[in-house]
Amino acid sequence: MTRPELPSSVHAVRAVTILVTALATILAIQSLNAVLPMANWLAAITADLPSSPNELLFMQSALPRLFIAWLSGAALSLAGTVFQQTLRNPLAEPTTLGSSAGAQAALLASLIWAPGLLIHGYGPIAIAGAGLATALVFGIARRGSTTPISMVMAGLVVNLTLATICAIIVLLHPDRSEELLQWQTGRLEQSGWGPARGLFVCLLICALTIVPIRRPLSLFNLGDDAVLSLGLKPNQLRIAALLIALVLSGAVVAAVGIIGFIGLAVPALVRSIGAGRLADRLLWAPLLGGALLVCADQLVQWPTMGGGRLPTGIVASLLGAPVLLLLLKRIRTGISAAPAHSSSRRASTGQLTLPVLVCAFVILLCVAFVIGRGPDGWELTTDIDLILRWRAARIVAAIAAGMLLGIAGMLIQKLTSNPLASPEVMGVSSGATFGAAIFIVAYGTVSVSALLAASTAGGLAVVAVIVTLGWRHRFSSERLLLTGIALSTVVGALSAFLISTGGPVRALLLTWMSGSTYRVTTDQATLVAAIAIASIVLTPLLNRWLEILPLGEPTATALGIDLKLARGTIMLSCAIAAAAATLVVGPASFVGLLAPQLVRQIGFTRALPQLLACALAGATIMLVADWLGRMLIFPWQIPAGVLTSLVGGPFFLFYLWKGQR
Amino acid sequence: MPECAPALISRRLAVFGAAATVLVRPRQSIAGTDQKRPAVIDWAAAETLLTMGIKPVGIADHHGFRETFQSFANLQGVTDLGSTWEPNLEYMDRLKPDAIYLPGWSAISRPQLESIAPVRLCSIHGSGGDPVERAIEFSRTVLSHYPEAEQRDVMLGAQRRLADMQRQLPPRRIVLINLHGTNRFVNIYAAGSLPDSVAKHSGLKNAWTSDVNGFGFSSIGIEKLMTVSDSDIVILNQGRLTANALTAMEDNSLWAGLPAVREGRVHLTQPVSIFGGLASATALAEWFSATFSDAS
Repeated sequence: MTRPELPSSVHAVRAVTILVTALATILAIQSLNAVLPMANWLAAITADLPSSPNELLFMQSALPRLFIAWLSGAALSLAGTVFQQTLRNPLAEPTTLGSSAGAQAALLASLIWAPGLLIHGYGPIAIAGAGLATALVFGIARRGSTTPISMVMAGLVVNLTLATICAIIVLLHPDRSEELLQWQTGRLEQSGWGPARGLFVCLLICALTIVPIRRPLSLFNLGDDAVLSLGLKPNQLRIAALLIALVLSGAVVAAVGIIGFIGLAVPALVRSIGAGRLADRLLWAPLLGGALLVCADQLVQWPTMGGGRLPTGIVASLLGAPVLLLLLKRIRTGISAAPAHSSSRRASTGQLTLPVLVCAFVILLCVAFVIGRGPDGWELTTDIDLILRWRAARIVAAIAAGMLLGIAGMLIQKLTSNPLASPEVMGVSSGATFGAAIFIVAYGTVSVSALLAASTAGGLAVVAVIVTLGWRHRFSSERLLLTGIALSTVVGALSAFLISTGGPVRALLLTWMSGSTYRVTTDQATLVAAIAIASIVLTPLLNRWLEILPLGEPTATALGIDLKLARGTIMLSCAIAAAAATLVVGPASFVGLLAPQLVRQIGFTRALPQLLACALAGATIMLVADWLGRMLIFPWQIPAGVLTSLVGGPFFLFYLWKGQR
Repeated sequence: MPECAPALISRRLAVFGAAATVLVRPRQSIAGTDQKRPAVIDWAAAETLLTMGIKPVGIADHHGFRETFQSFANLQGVTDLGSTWEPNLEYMDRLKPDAIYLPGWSAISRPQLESIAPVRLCSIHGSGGDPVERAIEFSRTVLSHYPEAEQRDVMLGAQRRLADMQRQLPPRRIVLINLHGTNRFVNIYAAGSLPDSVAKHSGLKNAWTSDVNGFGFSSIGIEKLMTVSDSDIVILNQGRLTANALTAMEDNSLWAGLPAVREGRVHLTQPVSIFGGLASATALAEWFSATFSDAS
């Protein structure tokens, strides 16, 4: 982003915006006409009180909905544009920076624990939540050299952690899940002008504040010195701009919930079709974003689209994700492709620490088997029958899943030469969940092997997408991460929708997606354990590839490696491992990210010991999480997957924060 | 990795030994073991059992149950079994219940629970069919399981009263809703839910017939209520939550403009348990009868 601004041609942007706006207008007129014939519109608007039910619907539901759709799209696009400009980060937007998730978590927490806070509307709480979450992301990423990747990485982890907190809130209040999950799915139904008025005022104030600072803001392209040379303070300017973007993000969540990707896709679209100057982007992105969201919202109201039962936010994510992925090829971001390999700072202490790891694991294993809580409090159980019946399958499944995630994480990091890659972050686990969720919804109760097949297919589909998009770009981190973000956002929203439509499968989906070992049967544990053992035995065969691939493509080719075969095999192993693990611990466990990081920190550098250590570390983490999950709020239980992400997320953020120094 | 274990047996034994001295305590028996006491995961079943004077050894989501079914003051000696979707299996096993009442929609857990005690499914909710019929049927099965129950007359009385109220009301069109804290959406109840079933048995007509989920309800935008604007609105009272939601509705102009609201055709029930059993059904039927019988 350091290149000087080019004289831009805004003709294309203008044409596209006008076209989309025209389409939105036609669709809107059509649907409004169905509510109230056009001839009566003027009468309805000027009347003090609605004289017919249709007038009431027109004035208090259809019209505000149209406005709120446009306003939300415009506000998100403006927020995205401001975020991207201020942070010089083409990936920044309310969803990637954690603002939306922060706003949502704050709202859910207030709804349950402090409804009194909400008497003045949802706006202030949502904006405060957005601010806190984004401040956390900045606090972690903004030390030393801030790369766009590290910021989005921090944002992603904050997102996942907050999503976990929201999941816990929903789990603890299943009777209110429809109400709580509505924020995550972005439903635009309106019943009055309150939210639209609030959002309009917000957008107006923010837009008016942006206008006078647009010129200095555009200087951020040239670096802070350019801003200083104009006699302005870059940090104050930055904070002002970020505040504006945060208010916009929070206000949208307060009004309608999370709507993914508009803030990322629209500014990118506007830039890629020719608006280079900031002033142009600030004008055209909101106009286009508003029109696009109106189109999406009109689309979901069509009878053939389910007659309005599908939330608009989900449709926007579904439409936005592919657009975003396609656009990726065209955006020149200037981000260096591969982050530095955090490497052999410490000498290989692997030989010494492996036995220590094994000891720790065995001790914890014993604890998990024999120490528990019963009717009379804490106790040591020597009742073998009890242990075998209730604890063995869960413990074995947890360990196996941890091993698999550790291995999958290590494989994917070697494959992409990216120490921040993991099956969870890159959406492989999300794909696996999605495959299985569709299966559960379609067929109700299912057999273990069918579920494994469905989730493997889902995981593989994601890997295939990553390969197709990433192959030519040598798996640049950015593309990988964006793919992951795109997929996990879509899957997250879809899962929330599936759960919120409720019904008897709700409980099943809830527990399964939160990563609980509760329903693990002996069959399932055996299956996952068998796959884990097979992985431990077979992945060392990939050792040579794993050692050589990170050295780069030319080296690998020179050494006579069939790149396609090598990568394909590693990916398949990774997808199978991740899918099998996802069956037990759900999509967001962080173990695939944590285990390899931990192992690298300890000092394992060679592929084979690293692999074994990763498997062991993953197993240990899951073992502890499963035990704690059964103990902490006894007799209630916290799913192991929720615990690992609740602990793993902050841990990873801390590591990122330390790594920045 | 189990293959590493043999080398560490001495360590493991040491840990065992150290921990054993602290942790092993003589087992105490659960109060009143000679009495037959079931573990109850289904709330409708819990309501039915408690109404008959049978005190379960534990109820899933004890706190939530107390909030929803406030009529049961004395729940002492009834423990919490964990959440309704993941009741604690090991704990339940230790409580040695004589039976487990499981919601029909949770039948996936049945094989695991069968190894603890005989599982009796309670399929009032979430299994399709007519919830009132199922509630009556279920109360009969409970009577057959516990023929010596203290309050069996209460249950028989409820069955009789429900039969007496059958089809007594004029076929007035109503919709049954539950308000959210966020005032743009409501849950609306139709075929498959207990309130709908009670209303139909009383002779009322539920005007909402669109798609609902397996529990018989659906979350809809308030504007959808306009499609059934000729019907009376019945708000299923959930206590504090409903009171807060009604306050939030005050600045909802669409709600205020609904014909039923303007014409005063909105009725707030007494506190009801949407996921209750026969007792809840009878109470709701009595409320319907008191509210709608004098109407023209």
